[in-house]
Amino acid sequence: MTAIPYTVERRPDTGVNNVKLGMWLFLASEAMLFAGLFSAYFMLRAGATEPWQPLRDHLGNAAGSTMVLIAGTAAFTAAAGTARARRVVPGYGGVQMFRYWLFASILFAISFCFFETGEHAGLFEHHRGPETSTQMAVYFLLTGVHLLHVAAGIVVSVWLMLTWPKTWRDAAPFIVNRLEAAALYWYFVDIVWLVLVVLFYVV
Amino acid sequence: MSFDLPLVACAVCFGAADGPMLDAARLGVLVMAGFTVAMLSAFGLFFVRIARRGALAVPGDKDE
Repeated sequence: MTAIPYTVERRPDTGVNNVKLGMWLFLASEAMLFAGLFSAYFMLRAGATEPWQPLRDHLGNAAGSTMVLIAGTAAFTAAAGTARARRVVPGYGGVQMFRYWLFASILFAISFCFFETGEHAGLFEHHRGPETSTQMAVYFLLTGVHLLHVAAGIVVSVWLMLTWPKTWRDAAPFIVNRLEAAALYWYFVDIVWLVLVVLFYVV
Repeated sequence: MSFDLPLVACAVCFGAADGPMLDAARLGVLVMAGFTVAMLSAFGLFFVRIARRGALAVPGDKDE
């Protein structure tokens, strides 16, 4: 199938396969990217001449976006789980159930993007764009970077969706592994979003 | 040449070493340092884990 070792099976010394190890290293670099942005947030907030006001009037929108994003991640986790279990849709002649969970996950993630761009547009309409204050500039920067990560996750999910038939036929464990590795990315995106909600909408 | 407004320069250069701007910069550095230490600790633990698991491996048992 392939000459590259440990793409699916666990490597004895690291305890994970190389795909997941690569994903963990990527997430470490992503964490450092957000560390720089959060550092800027705390520095600018602590040094602000006027105290920053949390966007509590938009907390409902943020809660809605949070639920949609978490639902998307849950659907993605379910996709990985059903693929691992080789679960098929009952009565459909062996159709793999993970396809539907993956599709649901993509829909939820796209919905999150719509909610977030709507939120940004609403703030622009109320003259609270990034040019109005340092707080809003940091808000748009951080939520914008996060939105790009969600968009990148959608691209990966769509790629998994499109390439699954051949990969599944030739090497099902590979696609299971890819789903599990991509799920780690979605967990990371969710955690960053929860921190953003607390920092901008709550405190 | 005259100025209508006084020049507002960096508080640190003008001796206000305990000003709010410096406190803010300290906080920013602290947050960044916290993330960096956490990440390096994770890498350190990972290498310790590799060393331990490598030591447990049977000699001559090549996986390739």
